[in-house]
Amino acid sequence: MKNNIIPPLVLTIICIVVSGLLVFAHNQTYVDTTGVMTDELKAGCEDVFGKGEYEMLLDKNADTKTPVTFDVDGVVSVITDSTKEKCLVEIEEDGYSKGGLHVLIGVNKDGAVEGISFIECGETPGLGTKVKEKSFLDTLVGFDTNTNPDDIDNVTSATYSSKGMKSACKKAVKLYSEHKEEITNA
Amino acid sequence: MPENKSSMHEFTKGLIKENPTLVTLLGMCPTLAVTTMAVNGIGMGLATTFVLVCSNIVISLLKNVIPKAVRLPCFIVIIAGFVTLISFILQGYFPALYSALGIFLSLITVNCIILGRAEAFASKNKLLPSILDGLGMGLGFTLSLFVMGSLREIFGSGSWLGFKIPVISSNPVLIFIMPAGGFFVLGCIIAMVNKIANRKPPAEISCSNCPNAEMCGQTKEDCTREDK
Repeated sequence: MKNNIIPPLVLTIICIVVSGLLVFAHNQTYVDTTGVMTDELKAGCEDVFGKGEYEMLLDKNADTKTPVTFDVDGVVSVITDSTKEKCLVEIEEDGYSKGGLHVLIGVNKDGAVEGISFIECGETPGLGTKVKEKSFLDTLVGFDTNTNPDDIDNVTSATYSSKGMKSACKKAVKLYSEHKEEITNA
Repeated sequence: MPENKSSMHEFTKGLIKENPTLVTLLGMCPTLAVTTMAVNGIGMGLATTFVLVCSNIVISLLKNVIPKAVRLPCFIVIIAGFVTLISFILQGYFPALYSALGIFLSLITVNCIILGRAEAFASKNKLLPSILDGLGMGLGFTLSLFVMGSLREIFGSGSWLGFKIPVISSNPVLIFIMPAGGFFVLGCIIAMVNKIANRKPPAEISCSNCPNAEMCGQTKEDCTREDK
């Protein structure tokens, strides 16, 4: 009888204690940054367009801070500056790993890519991460709705990541051209 | 004095003599997967060391409380708890390292080095030796990951810890950062360590050449039994 009760009891107690401690640790370390201009986002915006006042477009009808995404798959938020001429689209795009490319794509008032800044890159270090190199990012500058992604060379050993980057650019310029008025009048 | 000497032995054995990666060949999955860059090797190694030391402490303290029948589930719950804790910390404070380690961070839970040390050492020894054992094994793991990551990064990417290395950086040997290159580098390092330690293949299968012999409770007959 003792042998049947004590082992599961000890295991249960250990599970409860560990879970309790984890709940405590989670509450201590977790910060909800949805709809907030974090330092990373600000630095990314300044990296693309230089210093300025940047703000995130938020859904005015929602109770909590909900970023406007225009229901485009992968788009996390849309950011503009005080002049409303600059637009940055925060996108999480699949590269080789799912959601591995977390980038800020700057689109200028002509609807072309002005620059790209990485928030996070979860691609294979040394292979997929090559898309962060300036030489590749420079080839994406000027990308607009008329650009054929196949005309831009992929990076050797980072094919999927390069395709992901081009797809992210395409989404950003398409979003800007379709919602330009809403963004500039926001 | 002898106490100090044996404590020192618990710490140093994991660094080279019983190095978990290069001698006992445990934890191969993270070893091959995250060592494309030296800094990832250090990150993974230190994260594993943290979990290893913490789990060794807790398991050593609870060794008389945990019933034998449920010891493995208990160990796994404790280890998983610490792994989740370190992933919270990394996600909160070191997001770049968190995303670079990716899935392998959660997989520390099932890293056989940690469960192996919990089962073979911490559950049978006192607190201090367990801490030293965890620290030594963890640093040994970090060291081997760092060496492997350095070699793969230098030859495969032409850089080391972010510094570009002239000549190689213009023509890196890509295979080194591919999975096949991981096996190749690991094989070369193990061969080199064996050469330095002058370790020869056993003439017959026995416990004398087995690095796990000390912690293994089986007899030679059990170990070589064919119906196993």
